[in-house]
Amino acid sequence: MACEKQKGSITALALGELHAKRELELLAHTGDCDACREAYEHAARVRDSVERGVESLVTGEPSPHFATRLRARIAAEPAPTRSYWSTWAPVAATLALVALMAALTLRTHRHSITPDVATLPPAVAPIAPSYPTNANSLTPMARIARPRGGGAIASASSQRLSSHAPELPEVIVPPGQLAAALELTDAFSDKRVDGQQLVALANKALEPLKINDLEVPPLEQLAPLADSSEDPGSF
Amino acid sequence: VDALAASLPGHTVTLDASLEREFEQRLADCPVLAYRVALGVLRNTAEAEDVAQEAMLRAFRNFHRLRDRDRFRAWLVRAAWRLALDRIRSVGRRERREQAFFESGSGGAIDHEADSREFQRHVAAALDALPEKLRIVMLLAAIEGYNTREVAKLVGIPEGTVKSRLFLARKQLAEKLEWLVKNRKAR
Repeated sequence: MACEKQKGSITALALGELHAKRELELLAHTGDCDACREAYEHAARVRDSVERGVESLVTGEPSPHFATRLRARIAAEPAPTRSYWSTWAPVAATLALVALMAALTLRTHRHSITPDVATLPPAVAPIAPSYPTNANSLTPMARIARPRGGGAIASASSQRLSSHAPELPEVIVPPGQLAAALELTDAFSDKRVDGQQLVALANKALEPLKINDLEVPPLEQLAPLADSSEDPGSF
Repeated sequence: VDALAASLPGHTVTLDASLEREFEQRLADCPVLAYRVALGVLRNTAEAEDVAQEAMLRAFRNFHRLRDRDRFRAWLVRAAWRLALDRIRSVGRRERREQAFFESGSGGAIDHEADSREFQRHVAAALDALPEKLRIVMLLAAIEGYNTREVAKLVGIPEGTVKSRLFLARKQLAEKLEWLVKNRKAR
């Protein structure tokens, strides 16, 4: 029996759960105290027996035929497949997102540059940021974001308005989405994906949502309050 | 979207060669783990093998989601554990299995002594009485080569939690089996 002072710590010491400092103190104490030494030795014996006992429950190897049987069962299985749709779904979603962003950008641009703006004198036209002419000095993202030809946004917009020539807007997309879009382009060229159907779906996604009128039901009379002594129950 | 999916019926991408190679690697080093987890629950070598086979087969079916090695092993351990528990639901079958296991002496290093088999039986009973979250870490930590870090990865909990659960499990087992160790020493 360990002395009362150390009784609670002997098991923790045997299970290696004490901090190093406390462990050293207690080990030193067991050197002086016979009762604690005996208790520690017993706890260590119990620990070892339990460990060995549990280990013996999970010791062993499967039979030599295990792998053969497993291979035979796997061979009898249909090969795991990934559906074509699950492969292309992210790409299609990215394309739809890019189309949506393009449409929104185009719409915003048209609203912000009205015909009045086009007739403004050059002095009050918005000043566009200038871009360095040396393309090599730009970061990859900047190169993507930079308008083609290096011209100012305002002049490009007014050119668009004056010529009425449709031009695709510049859209900044994360690198992953760009790669996905390129992959989809390859899929179009290889005819793995039906482009017309995909565009039709993207257009469908752009259709405005129908919002029904809000129906407000007439107010009902409130029920009387429940008895406060009723048990509210527990979670 | 549904229309697009519907327009591509029957188009599938089969398990490619690299996926097969990776699964072969898992096949080489993971069945023992599944087998030992199942054995720790079932204590019957034949049934543990069946469960390990079933767990590996299910892992094969889901392998495209489980290519990462750690994720695969964690998934496999959970599958083997659940399948083994499902098997053991019937109490009568469990008693018969344990009887066969302990009498056949397939339990390991200390099975040559009659009192050791008796001790093993008590260890198994004490282990079964532990809460599931303590029992799984105790069994996994007892499998050769698995330290607390590995167990944490397999169970998906922090290493500190594994350590505290291990301490609690060992303490509870020690309290339950202390008298038995004392008796064995006295004999």
